[in-house]
Amino acid sequence: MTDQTGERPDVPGDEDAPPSTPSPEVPELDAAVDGGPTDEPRGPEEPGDGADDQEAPADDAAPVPDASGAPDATRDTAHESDAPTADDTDVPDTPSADPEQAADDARGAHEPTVETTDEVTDEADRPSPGGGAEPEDHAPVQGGSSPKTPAVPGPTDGGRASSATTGTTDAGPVATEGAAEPAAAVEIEEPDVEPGSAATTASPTSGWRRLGAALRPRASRSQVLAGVLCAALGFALVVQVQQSASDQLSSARQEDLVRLLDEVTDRAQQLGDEVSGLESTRDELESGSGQARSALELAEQRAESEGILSGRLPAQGPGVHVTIQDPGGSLKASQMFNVLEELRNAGAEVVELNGVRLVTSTWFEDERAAIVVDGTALSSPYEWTVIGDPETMDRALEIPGGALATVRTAGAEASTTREDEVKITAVTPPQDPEFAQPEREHG
Amino acid sequence: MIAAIGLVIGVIAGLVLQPTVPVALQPYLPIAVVAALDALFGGLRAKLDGLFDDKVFLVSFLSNVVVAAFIVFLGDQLGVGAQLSTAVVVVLGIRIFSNAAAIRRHLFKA
Repeated sequence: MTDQTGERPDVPGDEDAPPSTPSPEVPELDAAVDGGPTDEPRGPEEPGDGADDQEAPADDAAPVPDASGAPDATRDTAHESDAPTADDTDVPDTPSADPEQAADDARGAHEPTVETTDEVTDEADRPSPGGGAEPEDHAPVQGGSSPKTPAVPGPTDGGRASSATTGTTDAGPVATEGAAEPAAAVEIEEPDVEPGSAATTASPTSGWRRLGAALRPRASRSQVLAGVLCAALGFALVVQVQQSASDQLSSARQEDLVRLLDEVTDRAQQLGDEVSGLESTRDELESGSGQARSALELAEQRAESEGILSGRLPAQGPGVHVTIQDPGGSLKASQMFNVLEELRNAGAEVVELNGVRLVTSTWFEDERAAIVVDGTALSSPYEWTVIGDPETMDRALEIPGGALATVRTAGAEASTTREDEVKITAVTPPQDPEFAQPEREHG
Repeated sequence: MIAAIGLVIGVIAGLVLQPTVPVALQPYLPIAVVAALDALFGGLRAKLDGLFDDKVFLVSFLSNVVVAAFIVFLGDQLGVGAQLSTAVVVVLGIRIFSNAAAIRRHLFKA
C-alpha cells in the first residue's frame, strides 16, 4: 500500500516521480507474470497439511514469509490478526511480497485514481516517455523491463511522506486513505475491484484446470479407488437417508427410546384414567336416566289406573250390562244405591249409569218423578254398564234378597247380561280435595 | 469423474436395493456417513491442491469412518453416546466447512 501511496502523489509533484512510479508497478507485473507467487504458497502449504487429510490451512501458510499468495490461504482465518502483520513483514523483506502489496493497493484504489492518472500522465510523459511514465494501466505490460526490487523501499518511504504533504491533489485524499487503511481492508477489496489482476489471473485457471483434470476419466488406481469409496459413501448415504425417513424409531438411541416409552406409558395411563372417569360418568347418567324413565313409567301407570278409578279416563274391559225397566216410576234412589253398593261389593271397578260415570263421590237423590244422580235426572230404563268380573257381579246382583230382588219387589223389571268387552266412555272431572293433603312423609 | 460416477452408482444401488441397516450398526451409520463426507471433501481439496494421494485418501476415508463410529460406540458404552455423537458431528461439520472453504478459494478465489 505504501508503494501506491507514494506513487500517485509523486507523479504530479516533481520530475522524480516517473522513476518512482514504475517501480511499484513493476512488482505488479511481476505478480502477473509469475503466476508463481500465487501457486508458490501452495507448495509449502501442500506437503504440510494438504497431503494429510487437509488440516487447517492457515497454520502452514502464515509462517511462510515470502508467500505472496499467502493471503489466499490466510484470508478467512487470519483476517483480523495475521494479515496486517504479514504485510508489514513482507514489505521490507521480499520483493515478491511487495508487488503483491502494490497490486493490492493499486486494485484497492484503482477506480478513484483513474481520474488522476489521466492528468498525471500528461506531466509524467514528458520527463520519461517510457512505459514507466504511465502509472497503472499499462504498467503491468511494460514494467517488466524496469528495475524491480531496489526501487521499492526508497520510493515507498518518500511516497508516504509526500502523500502526506501533497494532500491537495486529487489523488491525495485517496492515497492517504489507502495508506491509513489496514491491509485487511485492502485484501477484502482485492477480489472485487480488479479480478483480472496479477494474483487472480494465474491461479483460477490452475484450480479449474485441476478440477477438470480430476474429472477427466482415467482408469488410474487413484481414480478407481476414489470411485469405489465414493460409491460406498453414496450407498451408505442413501441407505441412511431412507432409514431415517422410513422409520424414525429404528435409528433412535436406546435412551431416547426409553424416554419415548416412558412418555408413551404416562400418556397411556392418563388416557386410561380419563377413560375410566368418563365411563363412570356415563354409567351415572345412564342409571339416572333409567331411574327417571322407570319413575316416569310408574307415574304414568299410576296416573292411568287412578284416572280410571277416579273416573277421569274412559275404560274398557269385561263386565256386565244391567237393564232396569221401571215404567211406573216406583223405584227410589235408595234402591238404585243398593244396586251400586252390590256392584262395588262384587268388585266393580268402573260403573256407568245412563251416561253418568259413577265414582266415589256419586250421590243419588229422589226427585218428584225421577232419580237424580250427581245432578242429572235419570228416567227408565236405567242402563248400568259395569267393568269387573262378570260372573261375580252377576251372581252378586242375583242373590236372593239382594239388590235386583229388591228392585223386582218394588215392581220393576231387571235383567243382567254378561259381556266380554264393554266400553265406558263417560268421564267425570276429578275434583281437587279442598281439605285433604297428601302425607308428606312418603314424599 | 470416476469418483462422481462411483457416487452416482452408490446412490442408485442404495435406491434400488433398499437394504435394511442392521440394528447393531444403526447408531453408527449416520456418523460414519458424515465422516466419509469429510474425507470426501478433504480428498477434493487435496486434488485441487495438486497433492492428492490415493493411499492417503483411502486411509483417511476408512480411518475417519472407523474412528467416528468408534467414538460413538465408546460414548454409548459410557452412557454419553448422544452427546459424543453430537460432538463428532460438530467437529466433522467444522472440518467439512473448512475444506469446502479451501475448495471454494481454489475455484473462485473468494
